[in-house]
Amino acid sequence: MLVRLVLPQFLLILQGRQRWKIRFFGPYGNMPRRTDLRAFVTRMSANYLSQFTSACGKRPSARCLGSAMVFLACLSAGMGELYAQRISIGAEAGVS
Amino acid sequence: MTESFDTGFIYRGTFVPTTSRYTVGPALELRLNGRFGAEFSALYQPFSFQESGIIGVPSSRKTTGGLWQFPVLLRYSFFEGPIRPFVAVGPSFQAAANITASDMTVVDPTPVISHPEPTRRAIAGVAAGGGLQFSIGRLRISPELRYTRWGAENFDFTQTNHVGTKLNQFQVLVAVMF
Repeated sequence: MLVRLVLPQFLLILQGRQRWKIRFFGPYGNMPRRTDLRAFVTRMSANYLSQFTSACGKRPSARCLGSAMVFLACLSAGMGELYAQRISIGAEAGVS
Repeated sequence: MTESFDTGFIYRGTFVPTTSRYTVGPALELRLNGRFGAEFSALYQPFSFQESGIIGVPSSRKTTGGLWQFPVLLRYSFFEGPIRPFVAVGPSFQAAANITASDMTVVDPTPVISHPEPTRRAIAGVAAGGGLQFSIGRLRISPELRYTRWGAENFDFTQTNHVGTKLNQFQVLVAVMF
């Protein structure tokens, strides 16, 4: 069920075809209620499922499923927002 | 803290490590969300060791070079606040570079320069550590204690009977990020 809900959104992000600004949601915030999520994903699926199937073929390829599994692992680990919020450079030093 | 090199038992008396124990290099940190972050760094540690042989013609060999270490760590901070304790874990890679050996014998004291290949030029391991992060002005400072378990040795003393890099490494590190 979770794959069915999340996979189309993830593939659209990969393809760069999403029309709306989509933020992944995790257990630390921005998690909509289940009803909201269901309605949202149903709308997304109806609009874009054809694009997703044409990109990956009639059957999702092993590569697509592998990417989805990595994404789900990150999502379950609390890394709902997969973009970097801040990048810092510097130096590291020490003794061993 | 641990010396980077270990010696075989038989030749321990003829091995003189003069390896610098400091390591330094650039670092990059990505803050992913509130508590997660990723850290990449390229740490350089020069090394040098001298071996001498007394079997047959007395000879000595001095080997110099550098070890580049590339840890890729996922960091998790426990609290949000001015002082943030964290743990970090991830893979680490180490490569030996610029290896130069200088051989001398009693008969011919003129040094003979060569560039020997290590047993393995690159090795991989798993690093884990913990520390604190705090800010001073615009600087973010992270002292950290890190342990790395290497899967193999750059120099394998079981093959050369002389010297090998250690499989267990403890480091005290300080990262200064802008």
